[in-house]
Amino acid sequence: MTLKKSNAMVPALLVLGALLIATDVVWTFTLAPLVQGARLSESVVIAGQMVTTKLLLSQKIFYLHVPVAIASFVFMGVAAYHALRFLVTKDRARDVRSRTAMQVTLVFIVATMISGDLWTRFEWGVWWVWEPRLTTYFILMLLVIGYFVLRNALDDPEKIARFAAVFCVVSFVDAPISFLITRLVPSSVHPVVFRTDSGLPPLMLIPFLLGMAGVLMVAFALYRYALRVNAAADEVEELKRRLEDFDSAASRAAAAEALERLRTKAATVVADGRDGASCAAVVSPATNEPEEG
Amino acid sequence: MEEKRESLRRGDVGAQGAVVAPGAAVGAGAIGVPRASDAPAKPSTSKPSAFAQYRALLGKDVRQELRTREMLTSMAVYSLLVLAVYGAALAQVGDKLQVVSFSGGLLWALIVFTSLLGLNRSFSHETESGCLEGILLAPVDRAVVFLAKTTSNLLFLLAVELVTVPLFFVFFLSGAPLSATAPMIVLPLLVGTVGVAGVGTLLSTMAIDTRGKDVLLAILFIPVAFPLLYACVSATGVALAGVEGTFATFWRSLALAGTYDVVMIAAAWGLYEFVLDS
Repeated sequence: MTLKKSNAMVPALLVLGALLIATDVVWTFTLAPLVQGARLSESVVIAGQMVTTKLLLSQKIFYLHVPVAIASFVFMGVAAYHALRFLVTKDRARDVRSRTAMQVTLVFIVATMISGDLWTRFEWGVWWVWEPRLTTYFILMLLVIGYFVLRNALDDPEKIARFAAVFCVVSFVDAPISFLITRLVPSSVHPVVFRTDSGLPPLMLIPFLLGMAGVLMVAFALYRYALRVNAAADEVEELKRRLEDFDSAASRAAAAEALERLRTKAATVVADGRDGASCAAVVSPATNEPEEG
Repeated sequence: MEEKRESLRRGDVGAQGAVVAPGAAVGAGAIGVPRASDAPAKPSTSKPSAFAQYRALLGKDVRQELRTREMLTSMAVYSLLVLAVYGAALAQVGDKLQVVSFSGGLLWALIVFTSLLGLNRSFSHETESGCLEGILLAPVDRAVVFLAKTTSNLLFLLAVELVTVPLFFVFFLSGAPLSATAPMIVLPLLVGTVGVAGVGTLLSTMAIDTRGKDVLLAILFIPVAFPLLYACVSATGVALAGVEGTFATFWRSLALAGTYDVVMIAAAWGLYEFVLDS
């Protein structure tokens, strides 16, 4: 009942999330100030203001990059939670949820990697740096890919669910490491955004939070849609398997019935043959037939 | 013949009689020795202690390895091959290169690839001779199986490192002046190997039933062990370079590796029953 109600809310959530993200993007390019970057050799006039540092337009990626990255962490957490619940309850619905959350995680991780790579390229002039946050996030992506490789390398559905849940929990250990690494290893590249004095002026913080909420809503809507698709796919698999069982059982029964019919026929023919020896020559091929079948 | 002797010896070992018997039955059942020939293996009511089970399982692994030497030889030869590849890779760089500055990374790459090979082998003979079913049939706690397997893997990895690390020094660091702190690399080696054995045991147990298990173990193991590798390389590098005032990094990396070990081995221990249970 509640599932039906929340399912009805999913499209609304998707639309609302998309609207929030659109607001975030528009705000980003209109109201949010540019970030001061590297110091320039001489002061220049940009938009009627005298500035001595280079203003970074590429910083605009921040308003989408970070919310998407946080959504990937959140959904990996959801996946690990359902994986743990699966191991405790052995409820297959939990496995479907865990797998779906992992799929959403993979989508968001890839989106983060692409947007992050663009940012790295424009900011630092390189495509990749082995910086702690980048490294751990890269490893997180490899773990999620490994999760799906593991699922595809097994045959028994029960074993797939069990092993995947174990691996999901183990790999989730890396997510907090990646999230906290900017606090443990100070890095000038990825500042700590979530803190009470984030240092962001309201004109920058508001669009960021709008984008955050929007991305999380879209991610949740995607998760619910994917959940429905996955559950339906599993149901189809299950029905197919049962249909095959049913089919083979029916054909086995038909074969057994045919054999029985032939046996009784053979028995009557043999009995007839005993009565009239003259018929024996005609009957003998018929008596052999059921034996072969 | 061999099996017969084995069962006889196990009879001798079983001085505590019934205490060790079910553990011995595990090993015996695994290699297909008829139970009747095993004198102390009478059905007994007293359950052996977890430590006795652990010792029996560990003894079985060590004995099997000492007889076949399958894992140890393949790992040792493989590490020699990796060293030869390093030799080719570094052949053209000349004498000016400071090998010490990245030898920690080279050493850990060697250890990780060698361990992967060994971990793959460690479970393959368990399945080949149906040994795993024997262990699962015995009323042994899964955590004990995990601990025994981890310990045996740890022993084999350490044995191979005992050979490869000096060889690495001979081949690549014999010309370079070694710092006084170089012996400190024993600490990250030990902490790192414990973590590799713990995580590797869990993952290789999952990988045995899969298609293309050798590749799958690498795909699962390398990302999971990555934080440990990162910390160990940093600690080893600092110890080898031996620059004054950098030892805070050494201890911090070692603490990170130790934390990883504790968290991962605890997780693997708790999750192992779901991996074995079939």
